[in-house]
Amino acid sequence: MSQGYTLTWKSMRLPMPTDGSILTPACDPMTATMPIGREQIKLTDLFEITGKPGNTLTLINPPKLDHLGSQMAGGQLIIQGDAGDDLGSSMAYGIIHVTGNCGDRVGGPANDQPVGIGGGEIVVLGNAGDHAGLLMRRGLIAIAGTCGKLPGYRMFAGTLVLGKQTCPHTPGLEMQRGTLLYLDTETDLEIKGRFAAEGEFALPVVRLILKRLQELNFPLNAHWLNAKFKLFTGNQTELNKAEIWQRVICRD
Amino acid sequence: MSQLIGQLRRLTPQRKRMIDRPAVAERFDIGPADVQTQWKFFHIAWYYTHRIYDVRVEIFIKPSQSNSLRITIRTSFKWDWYYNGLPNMKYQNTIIENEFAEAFDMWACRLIVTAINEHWARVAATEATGYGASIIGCDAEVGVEQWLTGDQTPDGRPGVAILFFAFNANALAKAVQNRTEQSLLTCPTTAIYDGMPRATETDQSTRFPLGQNIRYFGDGFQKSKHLGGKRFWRIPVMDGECLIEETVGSQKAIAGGNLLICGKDQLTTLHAATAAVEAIAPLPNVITPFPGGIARSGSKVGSRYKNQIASTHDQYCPTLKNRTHSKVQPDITAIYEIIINGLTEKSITTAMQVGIETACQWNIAAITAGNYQGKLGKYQFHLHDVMGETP
Repeated sequence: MSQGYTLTWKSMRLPMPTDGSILTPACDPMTATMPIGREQIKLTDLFEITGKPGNTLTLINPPKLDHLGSQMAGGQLIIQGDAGDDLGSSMAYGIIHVTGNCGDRVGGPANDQPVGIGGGEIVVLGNAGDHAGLLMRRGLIAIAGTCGKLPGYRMFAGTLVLGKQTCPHTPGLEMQRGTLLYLDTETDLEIKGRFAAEGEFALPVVRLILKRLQELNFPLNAHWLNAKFKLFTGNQTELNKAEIWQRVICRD
Repeated sequence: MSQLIGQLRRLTPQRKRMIDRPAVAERFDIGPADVQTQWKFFHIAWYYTHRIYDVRVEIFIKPSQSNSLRITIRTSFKWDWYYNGLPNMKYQNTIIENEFAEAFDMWACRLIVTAINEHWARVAATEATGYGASIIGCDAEVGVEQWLTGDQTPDGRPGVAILFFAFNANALAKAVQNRTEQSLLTCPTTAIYDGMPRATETDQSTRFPLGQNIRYFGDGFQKSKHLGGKRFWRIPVMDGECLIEETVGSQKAIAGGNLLICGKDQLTTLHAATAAVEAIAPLPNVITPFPGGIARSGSKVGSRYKNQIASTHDQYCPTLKNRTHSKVQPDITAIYEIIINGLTEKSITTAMQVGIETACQWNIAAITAGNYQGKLGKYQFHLHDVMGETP
């Protein structure tokens, strides 16, 4: 891993949702400031900073900052803890790795952008909120835990990998193209009338996605590489070029 | 005879300059009266050292056709003497001749082809490498570089790394696309990946489209998937999808490294050559593109026939020892050539060394190498250098 700064939160309580979009691998934490309320606070006052300039920025136990990695253009952002809403919004390149949970609209659009993530990869080892992959354009979002309502809502393209689902969620609503990949076999997909089942397949493209997830330290069982996945194609109310894959329990 | 030697001694520098590089052979046949029956073979050499030209003159006398002796006089300049004039080395019981393999520039690319199991990976490799022996008549020289396990492939399935060689990047791109379309797209369960992901647009390397062109076979139903900075095209086919990477890297490479395995009987020589090819097979960055890695029809450039661009290398045909300027020793009856193409000089050198060491275990008579006297290619792999014994 290339060198970079490590920022450890100083246990300060934040009074309100805070925009953390400044925290990307490209920022210089020694001079940068972060808006808290109406004030700009220096990062050196908020974090204990160690390390040297590099491609990686590591945040340790940060509060739930919104817009982390927003419009990120490269490098690696590692969040050891939770992230707030709009994680990696409209990011273009790079990797975001969250060991905890994240809020709504992961990989969604930034405030002034019409589309969500346009490239790069977001890995969340915990749970995600609603509207994961909202208006996603390209790239990979992988959530190991559960996610909230409407994952892949109005997705243009890209790949959204979901660990499991525990609440009614209606995946791929108004989805144009792209791939939703469910690793959980039990999730009841609410796609009736929009997506149609095509059968069970073990295609290289799914294996490629899973291999890439392994490289990104996403928790996977090795035998899932050989698993079959049920394919649903749709969205019949849209372009009919999207697809949803769901893992099938191996019978052998 | 003494007159002849006297004439040679009186060679002037001007005369020496007129001698063509690298060697000129003048042949005299002496009639039955001069036959010395007890002579089997006689070789004498003089070295004339001049301020500029160091000339070596050798006289070979050996029995030729019935009731005659063949006397061959060979002259050579210092550079030729340096490489060809020094004694052959011996490795185990095999003579390693003081020759060099001549190789030339080509462009190469590597495809990683995976399939559902090893059988179909082998089928895919067999199809893709077919009719890919010599660039003289084929669109590319193609061979299996390595068999890959699931841990070594992008999608975790068994696969194969195939190297393609062609004269230039455009010809290579065309050959690879044709072979992918006709041999790999059609083969069940295959997926095709770029094996040179680091190749970029430079003087030494380039990238050309593969999936980007073949995707149109999908007739509008094709999809792409962007993962880890690479784009893959998913072409719907009757057993699911064929996955092909959008672009493929290629780089400058070398073709024409070779070994000539010379033996006293055909079967032993073939076994030795086969063993050498099997020893070379696991090495990275090289292929032996000919059938089973071996060529029996070594060729020279040109022919006595107008439309023939290449013809049999008569100097190495054991049945033509007495009809041509043969380089075949009297007791040799079979010669097999192993042609080695590689991505780097070092990889070819290593492959040649491994090939020689393995072939020598079969107690064959000699190993030499084919060349065009340095006129064709810019790379020369001297056998003695390859074996770590620089003259």
